[in-house]
Amino acid sequence: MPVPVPAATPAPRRLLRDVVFDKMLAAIGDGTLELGERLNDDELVTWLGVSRTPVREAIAKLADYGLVDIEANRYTRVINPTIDEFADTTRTAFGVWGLVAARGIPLLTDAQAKTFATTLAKVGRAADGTLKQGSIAGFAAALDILVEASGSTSLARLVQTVSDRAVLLFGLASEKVTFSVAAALVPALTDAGAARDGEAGFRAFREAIAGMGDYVGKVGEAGIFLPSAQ
Amino acid sequence: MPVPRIAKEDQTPRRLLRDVVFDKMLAAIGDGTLELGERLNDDELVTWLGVSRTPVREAMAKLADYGLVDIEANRYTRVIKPTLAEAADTLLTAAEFLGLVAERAIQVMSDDQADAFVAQADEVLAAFDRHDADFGIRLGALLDALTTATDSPALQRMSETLTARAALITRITQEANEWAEGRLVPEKLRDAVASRDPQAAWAVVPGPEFLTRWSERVSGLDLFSA
Repeated sequence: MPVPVPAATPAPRRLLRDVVFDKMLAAIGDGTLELGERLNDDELVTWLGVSRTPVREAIAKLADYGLVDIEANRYTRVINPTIDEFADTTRTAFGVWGLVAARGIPLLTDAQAKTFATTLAKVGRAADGTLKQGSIAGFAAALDILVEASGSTSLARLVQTVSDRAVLLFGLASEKVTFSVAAALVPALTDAGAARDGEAGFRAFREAIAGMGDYVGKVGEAGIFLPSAQ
Repeated sequence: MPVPRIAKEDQTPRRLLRDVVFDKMLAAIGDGTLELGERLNDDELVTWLGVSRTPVREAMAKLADYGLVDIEANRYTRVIKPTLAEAADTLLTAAEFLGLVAERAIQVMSDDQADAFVAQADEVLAAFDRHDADFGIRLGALLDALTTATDSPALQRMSETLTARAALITRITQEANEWAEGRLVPEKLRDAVASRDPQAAWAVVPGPEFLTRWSERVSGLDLFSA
């Protein structure tokens, strides 16, 4: 029997460390690995079924992206952020996403604009305009479309360094508190995309940042994250 | 003889070996010891750096995440060889990120901090006008001070991942530097902080015509791939 030839060109080989990174990120997101939990190399090796090297490389990357804390010769553990760190991360992510909107929206192709609109519509429908856990990922997917449209590899790298952490923290917060800011943000982004108006997209994120205090206060009251350090 | 005890406050946190290797490789790319596009061989690096394979591999993974090394699984690992467009894109993104940092810094700086920053910026501008050789180092310190002033761990983390590549591109294109244009970034930062106006921070982002002129000058250096 002839070996079947795949129709499309095969996807580029993924590095094992990236596969491990994604698995660990998902595990932190769904609570399999808890906030503040110590990470043991041997246990991870057994659980993930890969050797020590990709595990260590993935943990190093998680540390660079602010998802794991490493103290040399002392411990490696999942972050356990304070509410201040939550506020800082989410605000920074909105700032960067604003840059993405400004650059990507004007360059959307018709096909990308359509996908952008339908992806956002799903997020908006998820719960009367307020983001719930599952739709956070949808929101990140919509932003990925803008990154792709921008054609900027440096922007893509920049977004990656904050998005994973922001999506994770928004996800954890959304288990108890609805993301009220989205009620205005999602429609504003949808309109900006349709009009290919990058400036409007940028402004939508600035306004969301300005209106975030109330939301952060509610997340603080819910006790999801450690109290403020002061 | 009793072993001398190190005072507690003198102990700096242990640095990870991979971070030491990362800094050495970054410096080596910056000063041309490792050339753009050069293939990197684990064994050679292990011999050169005098450390084991694991920290070398970890450092390379980090260099790849920061956009300084390209890794193609089972094929090659090499120093990046960006196109001119990619180099310009990196500088634009770095400038936009700087706008974000400056905006936040201005929002949270005390008056004393702002005054100190303006004084430091004035020194950088003076060094610039003298065409001092250490201008780049001074500018780097100024940008670090601004990032620290944000008091934002998230921005500080991102700054590290972005500025290594932008600093590399700035350094290798120094010959094409126009003093008058390079002066604009510290000048606009200074003015934004002096006016305490977060919105003014966005003036550091160069317009498209700036990048066009930069690209024209840099293309003469023949540094980047087509």
